[in-house]
Amino acid sequence: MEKYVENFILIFTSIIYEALPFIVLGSVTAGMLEELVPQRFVTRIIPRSRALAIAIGGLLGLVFPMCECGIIPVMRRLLRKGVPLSTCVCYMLAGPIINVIVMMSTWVAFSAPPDFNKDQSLTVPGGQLGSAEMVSLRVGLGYLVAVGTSLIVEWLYKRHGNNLLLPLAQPTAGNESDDNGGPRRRLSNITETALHDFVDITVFLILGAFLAALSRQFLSHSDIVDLSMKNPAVTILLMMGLAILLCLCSEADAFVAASFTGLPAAPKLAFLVLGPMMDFKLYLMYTRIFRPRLIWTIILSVVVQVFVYSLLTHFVLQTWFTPAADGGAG
Amino acid sequence: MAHAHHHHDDQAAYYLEQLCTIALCGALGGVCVLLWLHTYVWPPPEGQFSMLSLMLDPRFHTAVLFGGLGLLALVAVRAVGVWVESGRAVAHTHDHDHDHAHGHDHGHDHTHCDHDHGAEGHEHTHAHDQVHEGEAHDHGHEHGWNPLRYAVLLLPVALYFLNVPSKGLSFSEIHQTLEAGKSVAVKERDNVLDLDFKELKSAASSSSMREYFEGRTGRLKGQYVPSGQEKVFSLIRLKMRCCGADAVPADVVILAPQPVSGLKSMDWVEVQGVIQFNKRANRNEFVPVLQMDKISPTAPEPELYMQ
Repeated sequence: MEKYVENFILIFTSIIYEALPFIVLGSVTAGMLEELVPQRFVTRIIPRSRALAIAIGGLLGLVFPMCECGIIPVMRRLLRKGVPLSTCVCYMLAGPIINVIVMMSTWVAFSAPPDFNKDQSLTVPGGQLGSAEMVSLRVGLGYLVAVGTSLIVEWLYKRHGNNLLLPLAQPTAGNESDDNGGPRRRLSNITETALHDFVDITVFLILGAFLAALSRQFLSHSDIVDLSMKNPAVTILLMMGLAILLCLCSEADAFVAASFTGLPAAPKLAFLVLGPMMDFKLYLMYTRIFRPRLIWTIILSVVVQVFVYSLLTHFVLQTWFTPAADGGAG
Repeated sequence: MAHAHHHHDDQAAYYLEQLCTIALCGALGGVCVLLWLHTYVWPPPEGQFSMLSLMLDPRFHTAVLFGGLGLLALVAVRAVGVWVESGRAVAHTHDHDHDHAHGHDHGHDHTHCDHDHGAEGHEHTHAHDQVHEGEAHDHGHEHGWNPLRYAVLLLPVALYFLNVPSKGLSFSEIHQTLEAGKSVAVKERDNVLDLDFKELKSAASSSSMREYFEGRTGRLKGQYVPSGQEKVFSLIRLKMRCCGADAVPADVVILAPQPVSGLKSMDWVEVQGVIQFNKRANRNEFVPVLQMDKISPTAPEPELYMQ
């Protein structure tokens, strides 16, 4: 029993301290956005075509690299500044995947050591891909899922409007003033907003970490591999479950995915695409911005799309990219 | 005066919230900095591991330090802001009480704004809780005293001061089901190789490397974990890529000629034996195995986790 409690506390605190610096960064950015970026500037630069705005939203991570924890407070402030909900959702979902830091970490994680003489007899069908392929597939699938979900969100927004958002995330009705009382006052306002957002989001990070640590006591890394039983659909679903459970930062999750050497590439992709979009802590953080109707729409859309695209990827890789096995394993 | 009383209640809740935010965020920032200091400036005695290195891969340590410093800087600026605001509010409340003796309602919650409240017939249109000097926009904040939020936020701070976590992940037992291996001819028994887990795990997935290692004698240092069978146990090193949530044991199965006694789970030992590789049952994967010749307790490795 003592071991379980110790392991639980270790996992719980490690998730918190891993995410905390990124939430601080996100909160400071949110405070600066709130105080320094005028709403009329934001509305001027957003393209009129909503489809174009969504497409650009999915690539914003290249300009403002943020991981999934830091992006939440930033997105809430962007919503208040008048950035369309669907564009914000696209940035929120794609930003933690389509950014230079995450792409580089994925590249490094899937680069095999130069002297690593892989045994072809152990190659899994549809299995090992190089770093360039993994980065491209992760970015491509992430973008597809984010844009698809945002189009659904846009349709939902046309029906329900700002009722999909909590009052704190609803756009301010242009009641901004240019006079903010000088730099000292501005600094005070930035810190007030940043600390407010930090507390608001960290509370839900802690609750999410608690849930994740609790569920890790019942399901381990090796259980997932044992349970997969070579059925690609089950393996993909299990890896998606693991992504929700582990609550890893998108900047480091590729190293964890790469460590599943016995699994094909598609379940790893499912893990890498779903994790930054949906896990226990993110679900609880979403409750500080969105109403339940919108949260469940996003979750359903993301989970279904990740599963379908990953399964399709698996069949494509299995059909066209499986290297010929060279000798038996025994 | 009912109006003034209402103002003071909201004001008290606002300042209580601000003070708790400053205190808790400051404590959390301080803990982040202390975690780093206790790893790099005041490291623990040899054989023990700092809390930060138990929780996170070293790549994240600097981020924790800067996160903590950033939080402390935010708290310091905010503390000055609240101090100045409260001073203004005290001065303003005196005027306010006097001016509002006529009983009209301003329809806002806080008293720390310094615009003129003296003019009768003056209307406020603020739809927010807090108004700053010279400002007419809201910051999208919910102000109010909510002790539960702070209780949750206090949890990691309290755990730090209770000195937990103080140990890495631990396992009571690890079960391995292996297929029977072919008999291995012993090679160069006098030439004992110093092995590491990474090397053995890597060798297990390469047929040429398996061929090279099989039959050789090697020494391996790791943590002892029983398997539930008397003559079989695992030697493990914890492998962490990111944080404690993804830590997993890298294990080598040890086949002992006699039951091993006097060891507790997670004790550090060094095992010497002949190397072989057996296929894991129901998986397309080889596991390194040592047929044990010797075992002896040893000091822990300087790093708990291997990369």
